[in-house]
Amino acid sequence: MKNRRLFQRGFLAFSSVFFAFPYLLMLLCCLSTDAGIKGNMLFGSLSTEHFFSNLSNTFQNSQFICAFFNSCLVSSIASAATLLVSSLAGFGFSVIRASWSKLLLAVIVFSLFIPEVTLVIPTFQLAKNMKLLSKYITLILASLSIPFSTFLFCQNRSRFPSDLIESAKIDGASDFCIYLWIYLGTMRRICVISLTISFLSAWNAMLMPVILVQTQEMFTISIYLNSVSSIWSDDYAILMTSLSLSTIPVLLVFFLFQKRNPSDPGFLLN
Amino acid sequence: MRKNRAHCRWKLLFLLPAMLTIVATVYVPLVYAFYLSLFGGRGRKIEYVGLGNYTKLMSDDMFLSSLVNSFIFTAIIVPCILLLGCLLAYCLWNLKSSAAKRFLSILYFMPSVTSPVAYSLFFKQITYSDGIVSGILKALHVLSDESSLLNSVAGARILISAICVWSWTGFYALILRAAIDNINESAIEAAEMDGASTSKIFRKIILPNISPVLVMVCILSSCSIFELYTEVALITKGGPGISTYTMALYLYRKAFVYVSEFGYASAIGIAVFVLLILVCLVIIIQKKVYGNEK
Amino acid sequence: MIKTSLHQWAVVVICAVVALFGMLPTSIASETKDITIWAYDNWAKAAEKAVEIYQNNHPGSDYIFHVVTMGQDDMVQKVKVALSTGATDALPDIFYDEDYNYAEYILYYGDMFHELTPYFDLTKYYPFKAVNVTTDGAVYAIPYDAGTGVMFYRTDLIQAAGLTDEDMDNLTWEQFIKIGKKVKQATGVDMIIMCPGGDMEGRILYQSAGTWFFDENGRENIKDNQAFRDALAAMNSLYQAGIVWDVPGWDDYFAAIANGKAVALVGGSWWAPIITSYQEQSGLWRITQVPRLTGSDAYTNYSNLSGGNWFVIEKENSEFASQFVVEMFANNQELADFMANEYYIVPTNRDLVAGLTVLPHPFWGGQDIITTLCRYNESVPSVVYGLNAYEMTYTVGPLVREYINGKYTLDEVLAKIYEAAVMIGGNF
Repeated sequence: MKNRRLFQRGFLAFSSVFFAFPYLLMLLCCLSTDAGIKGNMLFGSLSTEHFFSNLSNTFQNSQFICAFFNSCLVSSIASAATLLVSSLAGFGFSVIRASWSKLLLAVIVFSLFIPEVTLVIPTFQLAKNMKLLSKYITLILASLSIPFSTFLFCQNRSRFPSDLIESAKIDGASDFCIYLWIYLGTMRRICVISLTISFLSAWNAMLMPVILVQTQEMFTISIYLNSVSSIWSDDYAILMTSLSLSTIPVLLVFFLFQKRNPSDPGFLLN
Repeated sequence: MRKNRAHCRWKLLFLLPAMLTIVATVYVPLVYAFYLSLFGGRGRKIEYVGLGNYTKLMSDDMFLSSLVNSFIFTAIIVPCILLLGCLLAYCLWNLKSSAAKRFLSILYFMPSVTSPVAYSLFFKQITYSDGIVSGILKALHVLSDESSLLNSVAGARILISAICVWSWTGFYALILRAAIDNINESAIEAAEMDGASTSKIFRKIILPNISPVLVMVCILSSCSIFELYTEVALITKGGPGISTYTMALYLYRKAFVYVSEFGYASAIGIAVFVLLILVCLVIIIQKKVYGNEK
Repeated sequence: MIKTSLHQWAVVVICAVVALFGMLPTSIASETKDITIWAYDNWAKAAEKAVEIYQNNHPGSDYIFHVVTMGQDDMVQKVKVALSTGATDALPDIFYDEDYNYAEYILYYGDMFHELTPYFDLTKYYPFKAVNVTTDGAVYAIPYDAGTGVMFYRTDLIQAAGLTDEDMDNLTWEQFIKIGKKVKQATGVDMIIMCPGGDMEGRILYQSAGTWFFDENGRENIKDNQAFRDALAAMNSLYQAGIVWDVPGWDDYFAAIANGKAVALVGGSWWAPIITSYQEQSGLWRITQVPRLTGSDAYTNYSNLSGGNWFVIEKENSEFASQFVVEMFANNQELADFMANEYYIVPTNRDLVAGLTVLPHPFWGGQDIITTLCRYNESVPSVVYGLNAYEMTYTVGPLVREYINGKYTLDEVLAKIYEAAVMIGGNF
């Protein structure tokens, strides 16, 4: 018994170190200087004044600020749009009884298995031909994650029992009304999860946006970091600070939408 | 009857935005990708070659090597994720303190939500020859003094695999934990009472019950490996020689770095898609066969 | 049901607004007098200085300049994507790029570039630069700098082995290996940093022997190419002698220099500002010629790696842009002096070289490397790079590494490189 507990606790502790180690290291690098990181004197060069100077240098970088703002804008709109579209679809799938709805759902979920890599070039060509390169709408469309969200809503169909629909219909509500007031209300938890996941996926998207966005003013954070990766002799400490700052919104969104009540079963985390 | 049909059509409207967007952003480009792959030529000088690009692919050393690399990565990464994920899921599930549960779940899930660009850049900086990671490994005498982690074929592959495992396991551990939650608790408790070791409980009770989820984890992680781009592009750029070259990297280079060959690159993209479907089918069939035998 | 209608309308209106917002053109309509320049690293600094000098010399000019600095990979990718759209609105007026990409731009997208033949005199330039900016007699780019092939070495480590600077001049690779073994024995430090995967050293060797992957017509040049064979054999012999600090990638060069892991570095002259950034090594570095291959009189001690040129895109202001580029990068002595002394980017225009003012640089311990670089440029063999230089490099590099690791013999690897050259080079 005790051995088992010990083994499990030990394994969890080891895993925690494995998963947390890069984040700790990244934070330490933010406290250091370029020379300290390159010269392998990390622990000898830590100080809070370095941290503040790195921070101020990062904020003075107007390209970084612009990219940050773009990321926030695009991710918010993309996640709101995803929520809207996929909840509509989820509701549609709940109320439609016909057998071909299963086929449609399969079509939607199958699109998850089509690699992004296959779609990069044709999307680029289509956007180019329609003169939609470097536009916000293209960026938003490329950052949507509708299939996964729709799958989420359909998976949790059970939360939205059909007798709710019946009783609402008896009260004379239209379908859209049911969707807006009852469906969204019952599926609130799933809506939050969908919003979180689509925000994260839009923020972290890189392969498509890099190809679709050519002007620097429209870079998102992922594109900006990718473009910075090929610059010579960059200041590593400032780079680390930029990296840390760019992961903060994602972690923030992630934390904010956690369940506070640990006993409520959620699809994701308890 | 008529009212039902009209009602049905009205309900269809709910599905319309999703279907339209998915068809427009996924299926239309997919068909267009296949159409593009029928053309060869470079830059703006394009000519119809039918399936010529595909025959060229089959004798293309770079493509075949990257395919082999994908299989090697799958062989390394997927078992690690399964093992680590299951163990994590089980240990977390077993944990009594809910605060620790929550904290650890969040900790393990964090790498999955961190941007791949961000952590790839970070790992690149700390793994070059005199970086921190190399320093530690040299102190442990795992690495000889002269080389760097990225200098050897094995080292580079292990590094990329480790980074992928680090990044994806949290997400899969979550899915697995949800699956373990669904197992009848009393069976496990009874086994624990009888003094069965952790590995026995694992093998006899947990694994058989969550096997469909295990299959899904295999499929999803294989998909991610076949599409691997960011990590290899930013950290090893294809690795020493072409040991960490992936098909996605080859596609990107053919289309946007070398003289643009959009037709050939599209053919690579379609090939990746077809291979992916094949691999998924193999996994599913194998599971069915194995399941039937039992 | 009024509430429902309002909500429905609200949703529709919001979607429409978002869509409209997204459809708006994102680039501010350029005023007619805007000049955009794209460049990377130190060449962006060159552009900024050029703009500054121009505005000092022409205070009344109403042209506004925008210099955009990007990472090199990023800029090249953007230029190629923009070129493939066929429209010039996503392209800058002027940009800087390497010799290796010239052929691709002009062969496939030549109509989008402004011809520069009437604006300046190409004969003033060294032949090895001039040959890579001309297509069918017309000039499409201003040659700017050369990545003059040099060997940088640590004189303190040489002296610790009992050698002097004269011993490092005008070497053959065999002599270099002898010195390398001696230095390794005395100091324990490897003689040279190499990364076969990037084929940087390889490209220097090929050009020093006057050869390249392809000939002037773009046909493969590997079969029966003795120079190519000798180059690969020379690289292998360095490894066999045990004097190489092997690195897997570009970034590791920085660490190797910083931590003194090798005595010498064979590369382009653009390494100079990187080396000088390590202030604590001041006085310890010198330069000399690249060692030469043995076996033919055509083999030299001089080479070139990643020099670059300025391109002008055919847009509304291309006339003015061309004049600006020629005035500043081809004819302006003040800019040439500044770039040579600040960034070791020496001019390749013989007139500018003649009038160069060289300031002392104590980092190199009394050696005047700027004049030395100018002297080396006189002797660099001319090679036409043509198309697909990078694709060949990234294909040949890994093959060379496998050859050095012993997986292939010299004949096998040459056969593989030949196959790659046929597949890559032949179809354009």
